[in-house]
Amino acid sequence: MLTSGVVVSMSNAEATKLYETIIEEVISDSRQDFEDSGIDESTLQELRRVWCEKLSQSGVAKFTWDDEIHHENLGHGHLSVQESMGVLAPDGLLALDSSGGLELPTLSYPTATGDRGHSGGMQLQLPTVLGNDEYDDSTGLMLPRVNQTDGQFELTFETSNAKQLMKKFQVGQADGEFDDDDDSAHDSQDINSDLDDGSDSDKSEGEEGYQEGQIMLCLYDKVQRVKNKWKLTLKEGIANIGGRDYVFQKASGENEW
Amino acid sequence: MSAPVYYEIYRRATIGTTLADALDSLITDQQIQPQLANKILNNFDRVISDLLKSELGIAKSKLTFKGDLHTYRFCDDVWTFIIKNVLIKLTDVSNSGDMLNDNELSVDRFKIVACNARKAGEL
Repeated sequence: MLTSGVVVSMSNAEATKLYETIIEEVISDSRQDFEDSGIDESTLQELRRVWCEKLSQSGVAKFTWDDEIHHENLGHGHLSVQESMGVLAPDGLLALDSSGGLELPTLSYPTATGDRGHSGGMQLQLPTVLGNDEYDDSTGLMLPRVNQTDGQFELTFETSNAKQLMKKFQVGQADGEFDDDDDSAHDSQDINSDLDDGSDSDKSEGEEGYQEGQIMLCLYDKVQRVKNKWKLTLKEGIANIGGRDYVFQKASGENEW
Repeated sequence: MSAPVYYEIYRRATIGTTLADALDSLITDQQIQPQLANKILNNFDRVISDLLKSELGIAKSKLTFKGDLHTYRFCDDVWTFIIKNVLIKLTDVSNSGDMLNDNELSVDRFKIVACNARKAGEL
């Protein structure tokens, strides 16, 4: 778990580049293996697509294909947040404090097995809220009720005052990431609260309390100890820190036992 | 002379777990056999090990860390460390020279798994 004062935007452009290169090389190197097993090219491309999609979902880095996947996924029921979008909790009702606003119909969104989920996607485009003097300080939107307990769902709003709109949205998202400093809405969500909790006790697995993430995988050149001081010389590694991946050529650490 | 052996350690990184997940779903859908999936994972081991080596130069950053060593273990030529109250500093040197990009992160618990560099890609 990160402590305060963390630079959230520590650059990990190298991880993006490395990962994208790995995917291209693994896919092209595997073409012959697929052929030898009598598996056709479309399955290889399917592997690539699913791999990219899962990487994007992991949120460890931003990838060049992220935007494409966003659109592809509309039909699969993903709830994601971009600029000027609102998010609903599974049972969330977000009402904006305004009168005379729009009210969208209640949606019964198909679950993962739903047939409708794959047919070209479901995209709601709310009408533009025109600058009407009477509603000057309100956006006048009432968000639809979405009966969805997993995955992502994307809403696009067009508005002339996106910032104001965002302020009015309360975020009650049970999973996934949302870049909003205001965490107060999470408090009311007991779903997944354990997962959001970074404490070791909940995540411990085995004697050493292994927790997913916060791990570095690499090679060692030297491990030296003088009394209780350990000096580690490492290289060619990947580290997951605070939910993002970083790659490095060399690493060194001095630690006291 | 046998082909070089590559470590499987990077399969535990996100790029590896997501590949394994994708292969699993193809196996579940009976689109591929597990044997083919294994070959792909071996390809992955080779590709990522080679790409992380300095000559190819994608990963140039340097990382330093300082903290309290909580647990150390050496088994089968693999070091495992658990470090607490770690300050991690990443120096991104990819923009060669003009501006060194220093970033610091504090983590209260961090695990390191490291294989011997001398054996990588050899044997």
